Amino acid sequence: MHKYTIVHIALLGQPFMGILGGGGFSLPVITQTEVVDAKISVTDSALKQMKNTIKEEGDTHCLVVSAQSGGCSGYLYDMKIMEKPDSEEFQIQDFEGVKVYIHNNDSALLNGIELDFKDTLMGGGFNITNPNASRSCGCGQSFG
Amino acid sequence: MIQLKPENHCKYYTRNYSATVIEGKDSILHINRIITSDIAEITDLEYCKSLICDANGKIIDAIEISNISGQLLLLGISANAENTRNLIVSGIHWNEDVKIMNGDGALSIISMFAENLEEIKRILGEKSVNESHSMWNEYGDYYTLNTQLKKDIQVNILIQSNRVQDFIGIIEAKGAESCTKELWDMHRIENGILSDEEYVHKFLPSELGLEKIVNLKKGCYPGQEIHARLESRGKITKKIRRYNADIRLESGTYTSNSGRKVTVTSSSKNKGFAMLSVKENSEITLNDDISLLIEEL
Repeated sequence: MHKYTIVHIALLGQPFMGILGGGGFSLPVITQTEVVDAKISVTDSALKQMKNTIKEEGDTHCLVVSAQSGGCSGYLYDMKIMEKPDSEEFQIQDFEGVKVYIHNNDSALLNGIELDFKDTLMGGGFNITNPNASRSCGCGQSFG
Repeated sequence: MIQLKPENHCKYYTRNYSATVIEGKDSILHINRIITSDIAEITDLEYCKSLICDANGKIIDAIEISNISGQLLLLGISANAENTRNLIVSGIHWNEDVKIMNGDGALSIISMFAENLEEIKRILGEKSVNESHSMWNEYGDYYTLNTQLKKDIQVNILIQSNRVQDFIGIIEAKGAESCTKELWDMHRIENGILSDEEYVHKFLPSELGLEKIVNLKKGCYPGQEIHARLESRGKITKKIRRYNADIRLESGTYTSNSGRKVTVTSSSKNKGFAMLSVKENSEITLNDDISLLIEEL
């Protein structure tokens, strides 16, 4: 389980205009700040599938792997082929021309994962093995 | 029902909460992935209760959620404030618009309770409280929520903390009286209101009788697998119930004459809440010859 550093930023001078209609007070904003150098690996079958999937989109697209809250175990994996995000908050790894993007916010959760692909009719598709997960649910989409 | 002095029918208590404010267009989506109930359709000023559970299905926070002017206000167990906010912050998807703010100390909840609603309205104003038990009523510079209880009437006041002293001065001038923690606990116990004292034990929702705020049809959330299994084919072995004893019992673990564990979570005078085996009868005796009358909440 990762520990997160919480930074309290007092937005001095910015009246809080929501709940209770303002009143001139501000609330500290909480952000997650732990960023690690995320290294991931892909199996041959995963790389082959990634190349097949992304080749139709050309060089403008990449694979973004991310995590979000939810699922049975606490976090859900998310994988998207999309236009390369124009943001410096992503870490990029190149696998034989296929660019994989991981957002800094997800770096601690996803560091060390292995992407695999199973070409089977049942239970097939991309599969993620995560050394940071203490548990995962049966469908493989959630970890904690 | 709590005996109140004739000249002073309304009591108030300032409750201790952790407050988290969440804003951004994806706030509801984000929180809905974590909690046990479904707030996808929550409307402005709507209020609901929910739970945050771990992957084993056990409660790690009990939260009250309100949608106020497009922002979500989450009131949770004060002792769990940091853990809950860490959990919420760590799961924000990179392309979602969600901002988490710490509202501890900025917002307060004052609970006013009396034998009838008219007494509270006499103090706050005729239009201060609406009939709904799930919608806040904006009134002046605070909000009120009419809470349905088994015995007493309770109205919760949501107010900026820097206005609490003024507010208390006004309601005391009209006859409201501050109540002690002991009296508040008696009010809770008689009306079946669970609090931090129960939630911190990491019980399952069904052990606390909270099945109503567990939605097994909304999709996955942490703990959902366990809750679904319990609902479909499991049976709980223990459940929270109210006891009435010969004497006051301190919170802690006791053993009944049948050899089963009895965990007293809250107590006030000779009454309280206890987690005990579902096999226990309505009358039990603890090892040191203390008799308890047990009833369902």
